[in-house]
Amino acid sequence: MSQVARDLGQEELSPEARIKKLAREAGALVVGIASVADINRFAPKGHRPNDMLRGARSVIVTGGKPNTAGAFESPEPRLLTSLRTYPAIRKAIVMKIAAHIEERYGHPSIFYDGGTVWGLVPHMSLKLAAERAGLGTRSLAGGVILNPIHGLLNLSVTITTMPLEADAPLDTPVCPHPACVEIWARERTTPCLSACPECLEGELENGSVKWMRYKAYLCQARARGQGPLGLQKMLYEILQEKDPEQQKLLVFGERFTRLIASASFSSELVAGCYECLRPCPLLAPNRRAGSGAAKTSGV
Amino acid sequence: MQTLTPEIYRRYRDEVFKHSLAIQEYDGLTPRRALTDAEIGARLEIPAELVTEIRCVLEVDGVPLVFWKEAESFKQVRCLKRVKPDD
Repeated sequence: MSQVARDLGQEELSPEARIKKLAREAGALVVGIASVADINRFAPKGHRPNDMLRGARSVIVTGGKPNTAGAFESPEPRLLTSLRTYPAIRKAIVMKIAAHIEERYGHPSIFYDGGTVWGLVPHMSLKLAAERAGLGTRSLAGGVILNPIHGLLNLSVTITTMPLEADAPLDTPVCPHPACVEIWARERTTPCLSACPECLEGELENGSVKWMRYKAYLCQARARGQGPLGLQKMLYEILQEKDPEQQKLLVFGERFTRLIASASFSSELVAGCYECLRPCPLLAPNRRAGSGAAKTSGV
Repeated sequence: MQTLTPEIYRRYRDEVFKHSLAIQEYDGLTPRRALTDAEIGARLEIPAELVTEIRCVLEVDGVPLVFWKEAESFKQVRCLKRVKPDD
């Protein structure tokens, strides 16, 4: 690299820096790289990046804020999920990265944003990839990844056969927040645990999470009530109804009408529940419009 | 593929539930790995595809309808509690 190129701002970026720059320009708030070899130390066979792309060497993980700051302040919870922001662009971002790697470096690449393939089990864990790429650490709130600056992240990945220098996982767990440690000392609970005692259990000890349990089967019923599974559940109830008049009321009622509209127009098909994260102290600065945290870009 | 019958579903659903991702346990912030459908199948000596079918039915069937229906009011109540009213 010549001094002249550096001085003129024409320095050739490394592939890693170029990919991260592209991700941020495309709309990612944070981006990190994990090696497939490292992910495979934890992921079971059948759910590894190289089960999705033969010869995969690297996973580029992008993240963004799931909602606008305003959506978190809305008294209407359905708006919090229907107005999701990063989910609307996350696939395009990782698609651009995959195209860039293929065109510039000639390495086959694919992209993935967590769509399920066998019921609720995904091809691969985006949480694990984000953790290994240094974007954040697990939390008491169902093990979701929290970033130390931005709080909750919505994730998508590019998987490539290109060997890239990986980022390191974070040294310090983001959860629990010091405010939650104080609350635990006083009340033996945390904001997320008290928000959803049905789905979440856990205990803090010496300022750290000692153990936790996430009842995903209950969470998905609560979070996906407006999704395809909610439609199936209600359809079964309607089919079981013996009284034709009652059956008519169920079919024409507001709830089933909304489920059908969701299936037909994807109006609310991406269901969700943020109630355990809504009171999280780590999300508070992230929710404030115009805050420093909200403007910070990239890790 | 072997067809899932009510008898097979009733026989294996508890074991499939126990080993799947339905309940995720963590030591500290480190997840204890659940079993994949293939691993559950090997343990129960049934095809992985049958485990997948049992698990997918369970994902909808495993929680009473009332819990699904109450999800919206749960969120609405918490949302209103959190957000200060305009006045």
